[in-house]
Amino acid sequence: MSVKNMSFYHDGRQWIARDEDLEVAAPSLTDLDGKLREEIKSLYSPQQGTRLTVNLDFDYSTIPHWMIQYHPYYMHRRLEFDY
Amino acid sequence: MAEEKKWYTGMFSTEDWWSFWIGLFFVLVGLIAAATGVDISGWVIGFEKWVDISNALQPDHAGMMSGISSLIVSYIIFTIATCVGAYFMGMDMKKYFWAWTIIFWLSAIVYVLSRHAYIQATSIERADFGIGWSLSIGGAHYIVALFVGLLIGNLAPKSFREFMYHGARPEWFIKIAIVFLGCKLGMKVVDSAGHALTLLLVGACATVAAYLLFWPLVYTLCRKGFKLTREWAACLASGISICGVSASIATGGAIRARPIVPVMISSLIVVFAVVELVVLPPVLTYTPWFQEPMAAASSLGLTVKTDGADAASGAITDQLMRTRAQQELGVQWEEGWITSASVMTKIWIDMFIGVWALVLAMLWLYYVEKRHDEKVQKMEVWWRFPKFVLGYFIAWIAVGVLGMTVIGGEAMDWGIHPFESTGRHLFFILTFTSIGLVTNFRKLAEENMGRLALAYGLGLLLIIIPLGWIIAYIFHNGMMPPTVG
Amino acid sequence: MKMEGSQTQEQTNEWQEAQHQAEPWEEWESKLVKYSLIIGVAALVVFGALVNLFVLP
Repeated sequence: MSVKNMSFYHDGRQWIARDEDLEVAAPSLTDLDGKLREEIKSLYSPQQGTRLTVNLDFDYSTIPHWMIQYHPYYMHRRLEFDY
Repeated sequence: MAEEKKWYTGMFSTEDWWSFWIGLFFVLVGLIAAATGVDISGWVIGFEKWVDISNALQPDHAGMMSGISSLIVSYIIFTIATCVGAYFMGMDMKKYFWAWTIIFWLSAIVYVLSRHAYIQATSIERADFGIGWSLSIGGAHYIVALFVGLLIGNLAPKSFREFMYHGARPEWFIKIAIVFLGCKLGMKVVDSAGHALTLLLVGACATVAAYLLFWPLVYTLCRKGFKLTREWAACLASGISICGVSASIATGGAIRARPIVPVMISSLIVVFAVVELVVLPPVLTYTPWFQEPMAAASSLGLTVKTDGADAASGAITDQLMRTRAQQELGVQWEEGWITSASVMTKIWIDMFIGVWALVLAMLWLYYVEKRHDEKVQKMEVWWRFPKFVLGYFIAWIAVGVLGMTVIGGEAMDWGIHPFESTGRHLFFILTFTSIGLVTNFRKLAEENMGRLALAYGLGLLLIIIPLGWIIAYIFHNGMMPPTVG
Repeated sequence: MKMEGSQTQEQTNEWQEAQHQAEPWEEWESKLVKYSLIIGVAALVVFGALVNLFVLP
């Protein structure tokens, strides 16, 4: 696996990234990225020297309904983890 | 399940794209009518000034059908079109349909009643209507629609207000109207008038200056004057100085802010935009700005912070200034030019949001947060690009090129006028009603919103409006709307 | 958790945090503001002159 697509959102206290296999939460994005990296490592055991791209798509449905019409999306993050 | 974002992601599921599809669909209908001579566009309902109410409604192509038939046909066709969009956007169809229906018919009733000659006839038109006096309030229908929306949006029971949000889509409606507006500028190209291209050029220049002056000044005020964090200061600076809610969201996303930040700021932006919409048009009309109508309109694009409120304030200013010009100067300015000037600067501002968001994203990720695992994708500029603007320019070019070549000016005007003018006005009034419905003044009463409102208000009053007026004047002084006849 | 409706307590916390935890002004912010203003003023002057000389009536 070289690309992983996940969705993420903020619940008012912390950032939460999730897909069918895992869910990670942290108060800051830096912490979230660190936790995500470790969880992926323990779940998938990527080989040494490999690069995994994680696409984090913000779940726009968590933004208030009336705001969605003003802009098409909030953010899309691309993380590259080297193992 | 999340999927990788592609360039075409959202093409059939976002409101921005659906303003493109619906707008251009009807432009295509107008072009086919113009090319073939078959009247498939003249049914669009127009609302005339009246003393005898039986004359209040008329299809754009007079005589095609009765006024009431035209209104019903317009309702049916535009309902089908917007419901198709609503379906693909995943809206609750039943709620959307009923809320839209209420908004449509409420707006139509307001439009008819507000067009009474005693309210809107100019002094020159009184004799034609057989009346001795009139208030001469051009654009009264827009203001009344806005206030009816505000009354419902602020005083109706909460469950009804929330139900109406399903159909109150001011940004969607105004973007469709702006695509129709592109046809107007296309017709101007056909008429060989340089106004359209001049407006395009000076609008771009004004926008570049505005971005680079507004944002740093407001950011500094927020950081040093109000001692806000960078997250708040950046989002507030973008919201006040660029384009309101969309810029606040784009900036929040770019700097990876917590969503609560642009949400709180956006609540304020919407309220302030409505206040500007009510205050600025009469201020511009009844001050020396009246001598510079195009500069005045352009200033609206720089100072009013949502697409809906900006176009709406441009439309009101258009009506007020043309009425005053007709009565005091004996000059009849062509309708829609003042509106176009206010929209043009806003369109350039919208187009650059993605670029500015990319700049901030790179700055924040690589210099502020120093998050080396994360990559900024240049596709963000496309993803954030306002797609309705594509529709606006495509309409402009299609009408201009075809009108000058294979179709001809007269036939083009006949075919496209129902959407370029009448349809545009209809979607404008739907926008006004919807703006009123979604604007909740209760937000200002919420705890701590008062201080945020103070920061916003000071930024607007001390920096944006004065600088916006100066920039608009520098780039538009001397430009006048074309005259009729 | 959707952020619909009133979030008064959360907003209060956020606003207080926004005011009390403001980071100190840094050098890169000065540069961002300074260079934006310089380019903005230059654009205003240059474009303004060109537009007034060659475009506007």
